[in-house]
Amino acid sequence: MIEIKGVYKEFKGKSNNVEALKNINMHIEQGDIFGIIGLSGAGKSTLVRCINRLEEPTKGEVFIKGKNIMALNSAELREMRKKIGMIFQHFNLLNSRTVAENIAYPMEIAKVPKEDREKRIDELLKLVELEEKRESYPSQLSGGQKQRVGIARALANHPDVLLCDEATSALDPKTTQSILKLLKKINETLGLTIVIITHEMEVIKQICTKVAVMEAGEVVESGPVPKVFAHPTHPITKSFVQNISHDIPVELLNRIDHNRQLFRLSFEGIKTSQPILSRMIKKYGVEANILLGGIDHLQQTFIGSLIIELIGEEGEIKKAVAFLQESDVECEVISQ
Amino acid sequence: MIFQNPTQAFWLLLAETGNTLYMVFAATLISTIIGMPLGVILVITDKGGIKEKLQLNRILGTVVNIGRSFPFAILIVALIPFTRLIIGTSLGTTATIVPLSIAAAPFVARVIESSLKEVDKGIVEAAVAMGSSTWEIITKVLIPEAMASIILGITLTVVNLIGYSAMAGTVGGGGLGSVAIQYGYYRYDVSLIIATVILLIILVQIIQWIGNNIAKAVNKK
Repeated sequence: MIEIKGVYKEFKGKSNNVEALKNINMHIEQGDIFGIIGLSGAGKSTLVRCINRLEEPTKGEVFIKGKNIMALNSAELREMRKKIGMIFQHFNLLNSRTVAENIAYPMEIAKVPKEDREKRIDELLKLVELEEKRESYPSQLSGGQKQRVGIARALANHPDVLLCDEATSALDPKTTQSILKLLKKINETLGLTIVIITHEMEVIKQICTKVAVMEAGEVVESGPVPKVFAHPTHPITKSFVQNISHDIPVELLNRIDHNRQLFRLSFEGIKTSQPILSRMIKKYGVEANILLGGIDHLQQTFIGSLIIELIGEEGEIKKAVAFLQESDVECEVISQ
Repeated sequence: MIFQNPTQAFWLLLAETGNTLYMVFAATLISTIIGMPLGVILVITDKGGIKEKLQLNRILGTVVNIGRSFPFAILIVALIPFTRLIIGTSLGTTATIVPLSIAAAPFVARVIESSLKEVDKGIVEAAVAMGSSTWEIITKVLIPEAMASIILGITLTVVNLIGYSAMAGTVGGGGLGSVAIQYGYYRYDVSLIIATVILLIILVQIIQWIGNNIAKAVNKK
């Protein structure tokens, strides 16, 4: 569906050039909800803008449905863009137009006859559940409603792909949920490929099937969501996963010594249902104190994260940790 | 008193108010026709604009600045040959429209420019992402989104032109300015000067009130 090959983007600065994207390669398949997560400045917004050439890559190629969009002239590019929907963090609706007129805009420029436009507007308003707001102006809507209009507008010309640039970042958690549900519904009912840029782990966790983690202009990790987040290898990925788990209170860190150590355990899938901890306690002379923890439901699998305190002889603690690692539980020592 | 009775003065003032309005509105129309495209070009060719062309932008910016720095009194005189060429005379109400339009056009260009620059960049980006052409962005996004601000700017232009038109009255133009000069100043009729000033104040108030209300009605923000 979307193939990104060796894309580089350099912004020319006054004193030095900034490499916003470095050798990005990505393959997004038909029907994917593909998440791109990273902190601000990681280059994810630049990357998504390279897909519809709002940003021109310095080097590299982008294929959509097998067509190299870097080779298009400006008229062809405009036609291509009509088939790429995009929604934004700040919605970017036309304030001078009503909800219906906003949704009509992309169809007007695609020269859709008025009658067909009206029919499509009704359909879309029904899809995003805003029928009663047809004649309202954006200033009369809440953030969530504005984003629904944004989604309806993006879908107006039956796009092949929907690009979401931090689409839920300006919304409260409850509204975020409802927008994510709507995106999921659209993905399932229309089979639409969705690319989501976010810095919120919740978004990835809720609806994405695949994820790419970006840092400093590079993709540091990518793959199916459960796989990437159950065994994060890169520190930035770990920090995102831990974010959805728990932060460790300072008081706990202050009482660490040789006979009292803190560990972060991560495990996934079927292991969450096995009593590995109690087996460890029985087998070795250690006590385990569960301080924080939780099991998260990530798409079709579970990932667990526990912070435990092991109390006992230093040697016994080491053996206990070795046992956990043999049982495919990742153990990470937490130091002060 | 030059006039036999107040009725005669009343009719004179009424006719000249009509002339002032005629000059001002014709000049507003013409200066908007000239200034609007200039303002649009200044915005879209600017850095980060939808048709970035920095050199053209700088040249146009300079031309507009030169136009704006001309004192109006000098402009009227300097334009006499040009006015004669297109109107046939440099005297009278219709002839005054020429220097008024040319004086106001660069002002309108800047007014339109600053109005269009207030349009959220994100909205323009969204329009580009949807596959809009430059013309569609100008006509369907930039201008409609900036409409309230454009109307206030044009109201400002009308008010300025009323002032300019009074000035033009001193050098052979028509309108209320010429009444104040000819009857009031040259023939020492203070009551007529006062009457024209009051009329000008009322005109400005009414125009500003209308402009504000239209802008308010158009603004959906």
